[in-house]
Amino acid sequence: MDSRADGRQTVSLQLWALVISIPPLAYLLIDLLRYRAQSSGWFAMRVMIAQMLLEGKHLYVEVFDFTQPIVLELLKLALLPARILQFCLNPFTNLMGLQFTFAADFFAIFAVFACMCGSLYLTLLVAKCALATADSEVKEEVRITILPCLLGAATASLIVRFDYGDLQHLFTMALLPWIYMRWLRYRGVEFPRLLALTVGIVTGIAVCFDFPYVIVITLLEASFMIFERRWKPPLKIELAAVAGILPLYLATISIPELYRQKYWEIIVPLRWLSIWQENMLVFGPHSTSKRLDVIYSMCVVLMLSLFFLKEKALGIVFSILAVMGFGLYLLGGDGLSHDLIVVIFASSIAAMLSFTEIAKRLSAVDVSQGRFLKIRQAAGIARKIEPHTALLCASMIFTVAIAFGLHENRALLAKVILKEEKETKYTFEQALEKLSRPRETVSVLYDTPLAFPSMLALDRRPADYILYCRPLLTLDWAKRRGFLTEPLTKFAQEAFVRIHVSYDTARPDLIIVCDDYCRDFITAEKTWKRLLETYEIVGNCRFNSGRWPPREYVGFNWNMNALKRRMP
Amino acid sequence: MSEAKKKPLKELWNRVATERAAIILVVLAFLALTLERGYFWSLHPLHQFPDQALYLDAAQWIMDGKVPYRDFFDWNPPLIMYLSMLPIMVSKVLPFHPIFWLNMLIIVSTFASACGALYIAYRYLGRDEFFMFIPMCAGATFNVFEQRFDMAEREQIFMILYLPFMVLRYAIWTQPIKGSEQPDIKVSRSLAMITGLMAGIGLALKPQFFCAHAAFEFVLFARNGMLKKRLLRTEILAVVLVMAVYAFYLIFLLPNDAWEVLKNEVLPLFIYGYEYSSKSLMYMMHGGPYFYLPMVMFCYAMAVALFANRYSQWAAPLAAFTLIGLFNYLHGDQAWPYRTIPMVSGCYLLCGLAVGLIGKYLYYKSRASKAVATCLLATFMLTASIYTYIDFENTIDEVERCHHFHNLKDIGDYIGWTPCPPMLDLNPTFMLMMKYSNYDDKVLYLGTGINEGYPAIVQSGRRCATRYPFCPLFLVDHCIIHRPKEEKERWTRLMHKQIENYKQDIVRDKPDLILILAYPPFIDMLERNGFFDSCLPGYSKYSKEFNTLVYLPEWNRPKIPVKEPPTSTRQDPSDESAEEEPVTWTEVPAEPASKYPDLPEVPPPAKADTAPPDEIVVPAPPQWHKSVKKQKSIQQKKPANEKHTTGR
Repeated sequence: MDSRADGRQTVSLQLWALVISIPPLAYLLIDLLRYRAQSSGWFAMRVMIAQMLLEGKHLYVEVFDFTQPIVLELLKLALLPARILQFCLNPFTNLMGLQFTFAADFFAIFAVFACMCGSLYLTLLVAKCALATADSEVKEEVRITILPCLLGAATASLIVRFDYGDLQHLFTMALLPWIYMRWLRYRGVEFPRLLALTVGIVTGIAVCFDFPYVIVITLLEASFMIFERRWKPPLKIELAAVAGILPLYLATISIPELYRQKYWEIIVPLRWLSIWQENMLVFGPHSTSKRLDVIYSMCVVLMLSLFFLKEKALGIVFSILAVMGFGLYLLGGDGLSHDLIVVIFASSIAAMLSFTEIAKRLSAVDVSQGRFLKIRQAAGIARKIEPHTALLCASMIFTVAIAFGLHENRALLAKVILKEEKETKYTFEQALEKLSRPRETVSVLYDTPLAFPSMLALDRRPADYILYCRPLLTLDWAKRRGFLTEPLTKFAQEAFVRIHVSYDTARPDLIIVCDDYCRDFITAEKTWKRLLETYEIVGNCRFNSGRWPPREYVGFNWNMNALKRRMP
Repeated sequence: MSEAKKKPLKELWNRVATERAAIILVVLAFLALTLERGYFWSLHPLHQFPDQALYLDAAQWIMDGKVPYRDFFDWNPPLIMYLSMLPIMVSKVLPFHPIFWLNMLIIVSTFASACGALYIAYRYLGRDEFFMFIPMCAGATFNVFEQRFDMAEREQIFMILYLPFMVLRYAIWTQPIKGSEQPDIKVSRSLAMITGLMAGIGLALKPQFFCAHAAFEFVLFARNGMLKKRLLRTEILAVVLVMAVYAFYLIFLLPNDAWEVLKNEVLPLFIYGYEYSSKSLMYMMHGGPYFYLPMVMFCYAMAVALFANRYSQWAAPLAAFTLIGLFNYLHGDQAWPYRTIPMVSGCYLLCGLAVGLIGKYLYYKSRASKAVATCLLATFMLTASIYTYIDFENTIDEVERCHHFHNLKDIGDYIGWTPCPPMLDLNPTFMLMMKYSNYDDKVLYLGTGINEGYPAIVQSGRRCATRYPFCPLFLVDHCIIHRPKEEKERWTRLMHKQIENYKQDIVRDKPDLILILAYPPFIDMLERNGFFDSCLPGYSKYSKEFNTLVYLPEWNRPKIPVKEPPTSTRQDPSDESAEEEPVTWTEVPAEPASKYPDLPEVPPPAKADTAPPDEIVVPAPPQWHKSVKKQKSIQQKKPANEKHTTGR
């Protein structure tokens, strides 16, 4: 009888999980498909690199970026269906004389969306296993916490819509089932090996996405240990998987000679330098996003956690994750929203857990006694409301509120575009559309990869070895402080030669050069002068970015020169 | 029976002995820190920063009978100016510079505050809580002591005055009260009154401080309840009393015309003009070690608070205090590290709490708990001693390594003691003031902020020759340019009014020296608004040194040494013997004041009779101290009767 009831409850839990996750996720999907060009610049750039790698180019030989190769390999996997479909359809389209290309970004967006749903489902599976095997106290806690966690994660994905698919976003997807599983492990719950291994592998892969994530995962485990006052963590298979994947990954990329050399001599030091680099561009007023909304929300959530989640390990660990996310934001050093994804994710879940705890405490208040009438009234209401219905309402309300927020951000961007259209000849998109054609090569020298969502949506191909200029700025900063190692010095020289050569040999159809340090760099290397011999400036354009998502500038909303090849 | 009696007595003795030993050790540690800091500041007798120096000057003006806002412009609430009267008064009695006394008073107050907080913890907290509080108190005190660059800022004074009150309030909230099963803690009325009065002064320094304390109290209330009984207490009444007196002064005693200036000039500029100096959010958190270290501490302290919340009642209220501190800093929108002091103090308290909790854990886990306690205290004392020793050595090294400014005899003649500060503590504007004016002369400095003009004016013992101790014109200009068009007329009127005020002040006070920051946009702004034409008749540009234009009145033009005609062999400028040439003194012809100052300045062709001041102009930093040495040697060669004349 009990097991039947448990089974019914589990099915009901799955249904409720689906129902409360649908509003934010459905809205997110619609929004992603409707505004394709407003995705994360970094995500779009990685998709483009993955596309180039699928087309047969070689990482570090023909294209360079300090993204971990594992991210690019995963994106290649995501784009593989597009490639296969393209291959299958090519004979027919050729017969009909059509040129048909599958948009890579669609596949990438769907792949990330699938990962997100997978992460939520994996967490739900972890909860289901706990409901099947744990003791009644733990079962009760799982019933209370699982839905707020899922809702928090889904809502956070919608909040970070403009940074969808960024590294931190992918990392948080892996963290959700991991934290949930580890929390239950500390409560003595056993899981099937396959599930534990899956969670471990997923988390292990996510940890390889960036170096600071190793510290995050270690500190999370330490947080559980401190909170549960255990000197020895439960050494289970998922922990072994996480601990094993990173060395395995590092060993794998060290096998090919070229990878080993470039990875250890250039990528790792460059990433390390980029963490410590003082970005002078963000020193001035209004030079970066002012995401006080996220920081203040984090402060409120921390306070709520201190009040209501005092004895709740799960809530405390998510709060600590929010603090670590704040640390990652500081490490990022650019003040961009994509460095705040972990804060948003952890704060959302901690807030949901706090609200659930408040509702639970309210419903436990004796309505007939007590000094504060308002609290008694609220307690009366809290008792009448079914918790799952309340969560569904919360899901809808949050979705609508965030949708308004996204709309507001777009309205702000529209204002900027309207204002700057008067000052420039083209917007960046117009420059791309009018001065180049699909599948043509375009070279954009800009500080951040803001150009790539539009390039991906309009099917333009990058022409450069280094796809955005920040690594050059890092190298320059390190050079002036004498931090450059010999390989890095060589690489710095090589980078400029590459730019030079790409203009001479690849001869991009359109070159867009930002008026900031990028222009200074190529002017100093005398590339600009030579460039003007074969190209002419046909107008100026801007990214029309502001100090808020979807497009955030770093430093200043710089003017850009659009150059077209001179007619012979 | 006797055995039963003996045991509690023994326990009591043990307890008292341990706690007393702890207090003695900790107070000794604080004393060592105090002496070390006192030594450090005695070697830096003129080391001060712009805001604090301005408050000292404002205190002097108030003592001279001037009214804040009406007679001098500032946008800080006036309490700090009244507090700054204390070092001024001490310096009138004892023969040292007010800056020295201000720093010393802060050091002594910090020591007193730490001892007071410890005493309250000893008296009113439980034994465990007392021992846990020791590292907390040490952390907070260390943070206050270690303020080198923000010495005597209001945030630091707040933490000094607030710490004992914080402990007392915590004790009151967390101890059982009357009507419950256990007896109430009885706080001595005089102690509560003193603590409350001190905290009231601290809290009244800035409204933000009150928010931080309100958050602290609110969390304790939410945890413990019984609001009425815990709020209506002597120390709270003392705080209310201070607030009431301050409010009474502001409402009834501050003259109407001061309010008018505050309403129409100070507040609008404070709200809109400050945007000029704002920095990006990332810079405020990552712009250098002074910014990112507090943020790193914040992350660490928050993690500590989340863990410690289960074991100590301190965690949540301190976390609330720290979070409000962060909010105050970020919302202030200015990258001024001193604004992080309350937040960082909260972080130190939380870190101290972590140490205390670990100590407590070890104490109870260990069989020889007394030995553990002694070891912990000894470690604490040892750490403090080692730190003090290292810092002491560093101080001596640093002072020995740097050059000192010896030419402060004119100040010494007036204050009864000739300071000999390290050159690092003095800015180039100070050098210009020493060069072109005398003690107690009136000096006008125009720049884009408080910096440079202050602390140089206070350090050199000059007087500010205008109601604007710092030039607000650039901020008004910023508002004219960046505020909506409909406000333009209002800001333009304010600009004209302030220039008119400058004109009146210059005519009335006849400054002996006017220094203008040679920052092209600033000069352009002054020129656009007709400052040179309307305010500087009778003054002429004399030189440009240290990126500053020097304007002198006709009566104060110094005699400049004219070089002998060049000999055939060119001398090395670094050659000391070059200074041994005989010099003659002649008047330098003035350039008309209304002429637009050319930037960058092109030196006029060398003429024997109109020798430009280049001969004595010291080169730009960082080698400026050497040049001052050269200047000093030139001054020493002047005949006694040929000193700079003031014409008065």
